[in-house]
Amino acid sequence: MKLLLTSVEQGLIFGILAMGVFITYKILDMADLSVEGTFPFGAFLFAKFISLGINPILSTLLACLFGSLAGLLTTLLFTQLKIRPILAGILTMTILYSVNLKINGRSNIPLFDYDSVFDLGSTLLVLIIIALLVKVLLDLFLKTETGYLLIATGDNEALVKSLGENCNKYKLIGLMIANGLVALSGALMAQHQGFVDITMGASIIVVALASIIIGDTIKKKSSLLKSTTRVIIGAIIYKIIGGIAIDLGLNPDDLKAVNAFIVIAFIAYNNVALDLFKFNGKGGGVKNVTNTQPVQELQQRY
Amino acid sequence: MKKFSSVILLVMVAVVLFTGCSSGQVKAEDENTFEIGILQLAEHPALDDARRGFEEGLKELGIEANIHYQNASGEIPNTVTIANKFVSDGVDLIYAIATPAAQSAKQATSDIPVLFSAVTDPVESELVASMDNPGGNVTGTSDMSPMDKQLELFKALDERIENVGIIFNTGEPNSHIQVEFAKKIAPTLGLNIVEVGINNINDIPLALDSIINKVDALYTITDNMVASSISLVANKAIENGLITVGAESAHIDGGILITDGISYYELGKQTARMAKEILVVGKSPADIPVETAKNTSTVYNEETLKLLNLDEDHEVFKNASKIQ
Repeated sequence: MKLLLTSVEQGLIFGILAMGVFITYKILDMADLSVEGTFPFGAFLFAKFISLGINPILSTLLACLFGSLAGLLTTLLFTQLKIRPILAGILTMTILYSVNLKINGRSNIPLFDYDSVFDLGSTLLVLIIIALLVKVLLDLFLKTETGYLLIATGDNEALVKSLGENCNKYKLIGLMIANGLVALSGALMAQHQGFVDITMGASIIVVALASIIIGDTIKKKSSLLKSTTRVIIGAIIYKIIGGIAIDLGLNPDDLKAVNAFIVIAFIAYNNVALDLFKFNGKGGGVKNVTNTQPVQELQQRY
Repeated sequence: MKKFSSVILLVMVAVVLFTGCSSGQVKAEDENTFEIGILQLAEHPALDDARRGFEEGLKELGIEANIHYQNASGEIPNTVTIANKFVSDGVDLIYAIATPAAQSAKQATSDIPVLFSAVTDPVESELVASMDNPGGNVTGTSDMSPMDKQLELFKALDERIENVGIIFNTGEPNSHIQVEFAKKIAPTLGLNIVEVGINNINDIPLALDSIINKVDALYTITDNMVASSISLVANKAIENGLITVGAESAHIDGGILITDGISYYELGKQTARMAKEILVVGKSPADIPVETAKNTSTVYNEETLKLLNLDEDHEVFKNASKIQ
């Protein structure tokens, strides 16, 4: 049972990460690879603040706040210097590697002796509350005018421009929120595992994308189930399956391939299985636009 | 709706499987058989040696054990999952290989004994309170190499050597500790350390080119990136006629000239003896001091020696074993 608990806890932490990546990957339709740097960035920031004697809650929030600066950097790179977004993200990730090493002057920081947000109550409960809080705030934000324009920027830049709005402003907002959430996730992971290590961001983008893809599979056509909820559930499912792979005692060499196969299976289910049922289901639907409501409302408004 | 239910079903089956597996999977068959969980950070020659040495060591000591080996494939969240699996399985002892693995094991349990290996500075990593009195449920072996002995080899081989180059991965805590230590002791041996940091394995050729004109010899520390490209380092050094000293015997297999160093295999065996103290004698890890490698041995690479036109009758090579 403890292993199941660990998987769910890690799933909730990665759910927050995946919500961040969801903003860039799904809403803005951008591949922001800075995530692999931002995740440990959040952890290193947390270690710095907690070692300065700041309480764990505030340290976590500060890590989230400063983490969002990574999004600012990426946006500046691609809006001001016209670097392609994917390369801008990689450059940010590379810069963050050095920054992470500089923050505390070392690459591995034990946190065993410090307080953590999990001292407030049961680890699982604290994580559920944080994940739900992030989800609700993000849902509410996406319903504001800024939120709608953010979604519209990803769906149809021309439309946003025709409204006299600057797309780059919404990309900046989206990337800063995304990186803030990723850093928050990193800070929580550091407290959960009890230490920070420079390699903790490795392969993290795969976890985020897998969570989003698995989340997509759940009750695909239902509009009741919000994307943010899907993403959290996706992350939990991914970690549980990963936990089973470990628990079954698979050959350690195969672990990475197993993780990849899980993702492939879900994508295949999404793409192939749905096509097979295409004519039975309700059919149709705009493939890339997940939420058409804001666009309609904007059209009505202007 | 149908698809949704099938996904839910899948998850439920998964959860049932999962909980079914994790409860009471590990049962001692009789009282003399111990359940040992091995948590290894990544696939890596030195770490593999530390594991094999431990397993062999247990056999030699006549300890009957069911080994549950898990490898985190270099992903730290996996080390947490695996450590927690061992705890819920109720193993008698966890053997954690490399620093993050040991830290995850420490976080996962405060009662099951944890033995670590391939950790350079367990005090700095907060695994133990001090080397002599670990104080908790964690102790083990440190892979700190006898660096003073190794650096002494430079002057013994060639009096004129002054500047010694070190390439290290800036992302490895163990590497930082070694570089700091080398810089501290080098002046007492009449040497000056010139270090160059890398953070990607592809940086090594560039780093080598930049350092090679500034130094008279190269010292290879126990660093995962350097270890992975040791033949490249060795070849470059030979091309430029530089003497190389390695921190571990695996470097000599890769073409480094000489070392007086530790073997991770032997270190694993040494850790197995500590396991016996805990499992059979019943000592608490809190009272077992952290050990460093007891046996070091001088090993040199014969081919490199010839390519560098060195004299095999030199006293340094007299009592050393050689690798072809």
